[in-house]
Amino acid sequence: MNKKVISTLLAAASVITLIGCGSSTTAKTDETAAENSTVQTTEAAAKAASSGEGSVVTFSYPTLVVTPTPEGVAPVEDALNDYLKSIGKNYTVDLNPIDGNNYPTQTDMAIMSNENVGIYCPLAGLSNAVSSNKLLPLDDYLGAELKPVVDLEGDQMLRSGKVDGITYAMPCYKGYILYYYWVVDKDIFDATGFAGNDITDIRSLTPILEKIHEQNPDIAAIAPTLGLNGTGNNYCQLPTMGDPDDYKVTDLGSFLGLIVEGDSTKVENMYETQYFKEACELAYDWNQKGLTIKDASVTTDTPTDTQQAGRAASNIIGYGNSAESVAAFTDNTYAFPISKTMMASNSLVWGIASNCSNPRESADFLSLLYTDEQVINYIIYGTEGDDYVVTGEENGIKTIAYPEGQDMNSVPYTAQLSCGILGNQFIMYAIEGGTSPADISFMKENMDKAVYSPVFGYQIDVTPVSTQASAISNAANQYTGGLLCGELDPKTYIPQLIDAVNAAGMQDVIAVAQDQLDAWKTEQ
Amino acid sequence: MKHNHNSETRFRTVCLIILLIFTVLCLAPFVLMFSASITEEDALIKDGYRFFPSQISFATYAFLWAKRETIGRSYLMSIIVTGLGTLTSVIITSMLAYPLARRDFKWRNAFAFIIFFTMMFNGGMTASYIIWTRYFHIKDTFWALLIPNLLMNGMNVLMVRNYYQSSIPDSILEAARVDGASEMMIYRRIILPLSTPVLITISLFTGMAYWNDWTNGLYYITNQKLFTINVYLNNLMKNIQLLASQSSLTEGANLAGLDLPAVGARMAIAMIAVLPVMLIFPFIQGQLIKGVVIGGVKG
Repeated sequence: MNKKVISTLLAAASVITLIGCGSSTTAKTDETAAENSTVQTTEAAAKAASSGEGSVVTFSYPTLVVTPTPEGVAPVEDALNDYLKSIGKNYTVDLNPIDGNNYPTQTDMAIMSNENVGIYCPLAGLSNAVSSNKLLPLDDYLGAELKPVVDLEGDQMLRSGKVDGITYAMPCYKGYILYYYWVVDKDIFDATGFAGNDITDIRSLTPILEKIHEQNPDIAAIAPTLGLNGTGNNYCQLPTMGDPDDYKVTDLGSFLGLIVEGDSTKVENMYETQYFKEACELAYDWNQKGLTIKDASVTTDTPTDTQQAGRAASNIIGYGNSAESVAAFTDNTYAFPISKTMMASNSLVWGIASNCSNPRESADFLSLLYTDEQVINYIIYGTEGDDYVVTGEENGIKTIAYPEGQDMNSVPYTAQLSCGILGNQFIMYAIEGGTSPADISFMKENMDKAVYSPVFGYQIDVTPVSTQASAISNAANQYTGGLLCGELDPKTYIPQLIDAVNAAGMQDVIAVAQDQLDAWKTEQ
Repeated sequence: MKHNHNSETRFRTVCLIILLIFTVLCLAPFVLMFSASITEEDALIKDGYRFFPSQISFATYAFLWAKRETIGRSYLMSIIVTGLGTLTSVIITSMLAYPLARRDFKWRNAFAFIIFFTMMFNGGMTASYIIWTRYFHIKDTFWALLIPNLLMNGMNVLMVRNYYQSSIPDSILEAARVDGASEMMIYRRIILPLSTPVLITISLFTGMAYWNDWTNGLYYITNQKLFTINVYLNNLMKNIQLLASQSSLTEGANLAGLDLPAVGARMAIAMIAVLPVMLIFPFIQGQLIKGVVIGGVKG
């Protein structure tokens, strides 16, 4: 009996010791974690203390082609922080540029593992970021820190940063309105005998392209534009025919082929519409007449390269810039506008990561990206002297250039190619070879006069039907390139495409999208 | 006899023709890539890829030379990561495989199972990421390129173990023990020299994996100075693709004035990225075959 008691006690004791061990290990891990976070915060605090200020705002932004090194970023960060101090801000900023290709993965991962990301752009989609709790609601700051942004962009524009009526992000403010231009070789166009005002829309190009083909049988009359994310090459028929003066189509995004047409808010399967049919028939007609390059649906050369190499006489391309500027981009070309887009959707929005420890200061800095010329230009172009030199002023916009003998690749810091991704483009300097001051004014004017889609601000959330959604884009991708480049006969292949997307679950996705859209409409 | 000789010749001829076809199939893409890298840019777009360039130009290599600071650094980073990674990996793999091959090691099956388990299941990306960044703090350090996913591979461990079991007779080890050799000495003086073929084989596998890897760069590296050549190349191509297509990211930005590396330059980068592999392979080919055959098939 005694033995039994003793052994039970011993067993209990050992269990307790084990638990003790366990908890002490946990405690230790916690300690290490705490220690580590202390290390991080002390680092940050030390940094802050050295500049005699309070908290540190982290700003993570994507860069393209050239990503500045830490050595390149440091002086810019110092200059920016000195400036923030001079305008009475009680925080400093930690700049965190990330290569655009790695950006969505790295920011998502970092937030999931509770790293400090601060202000960031949910490139993988706003609704997705909200449903996985990666973003902080900003409603508390709209009346104060973010008030200047609200005033600048206006309620309509801010819709694209809302989910379920709550504001999570501020849209990037830039020239979203695109003109689609038909860019054609000057000599070739002049020889056709057509005039600029013969060109009204994409359909009006057919007779001109035929004439070009007749006069220049050796080269293609038109080169295709490259499709994004496997959507297939095309001749920009969908955006040009979808403009407000034409079919007025809003693509609901995520490459699903869901659209609304005109002022209706009824979700439609694009592949079943007259709009898509006409887009394919136009391309098929061009292909049958031999107006285009042979490998149109599979080429990976940009239309501009194809044209410049003398393989094609023209191409269609969308730009925010004016016709004169677009014509000047490539040697010896005319640029004729064939359509102008509306504000249909916008996925470029900036929010604050949900684990951010100083949201108020972050919101304040986020606001400066839209309103403070100094701040945004530090971030895009770096510091004057080292990274760029001022060459003059035009239309009230400073013009700048890279220092003598330097370029984008060699200056210590530049985020020039991020100019269309963050902040307010209309207060950025104009760099030589980039968007001209005249174009910046032109884009601003277009934004002020923009036509908005009836569903602007609605973003589809495919999470409930993600399996069907990926099956649909896979099924559609097999056909779209061939159809939009005119290599497949629309009579045979559009019905096949419709069958394929229906088999992949198109009806489910339409039902979900319609429910979401109706709910969104009620909220407005 | 004569009949036999004839059929032998016929067999060899058939083999030779089949192998020749395969050789051409393997070589053709390389030749095409090289030819594209030395073709004049406009000619490349106009005439397409050709085995013999229509207009030769070394402009793409001049472009790479102009970017030698970034490209050179990534290249050097790749060499260091691959060299150090392969060496470490081979040493620890063989050191783990050796006890597993010893019949007198009681727990060898349990350990083998644990290793085998890692080949079937893993913690998934997010969990691994959290472990590596929050507990080991390897984010944005050299270690991030070296350790995750690549340092140890269950497949290689089992292959080396099989090789030890099937090609090194126990009697040699016993003889060594009788002569008074310590365990460490047996491993160093007998096991390692006798297992050159399999070690070379796994060196090649590991080396290739290190050299071609860009996923660790994608997840863990933000500092461009730590990019390996394949991370750099992958990012550059993806960025250019994004800029070339009509993407909302670049609306409003004027890209026409940019001097971005075009197709030819990308081919040239790909060319220099495969160069070291092509240079090393012929020297280890013989050992490689032996290692794969003995380590893989038996046991």
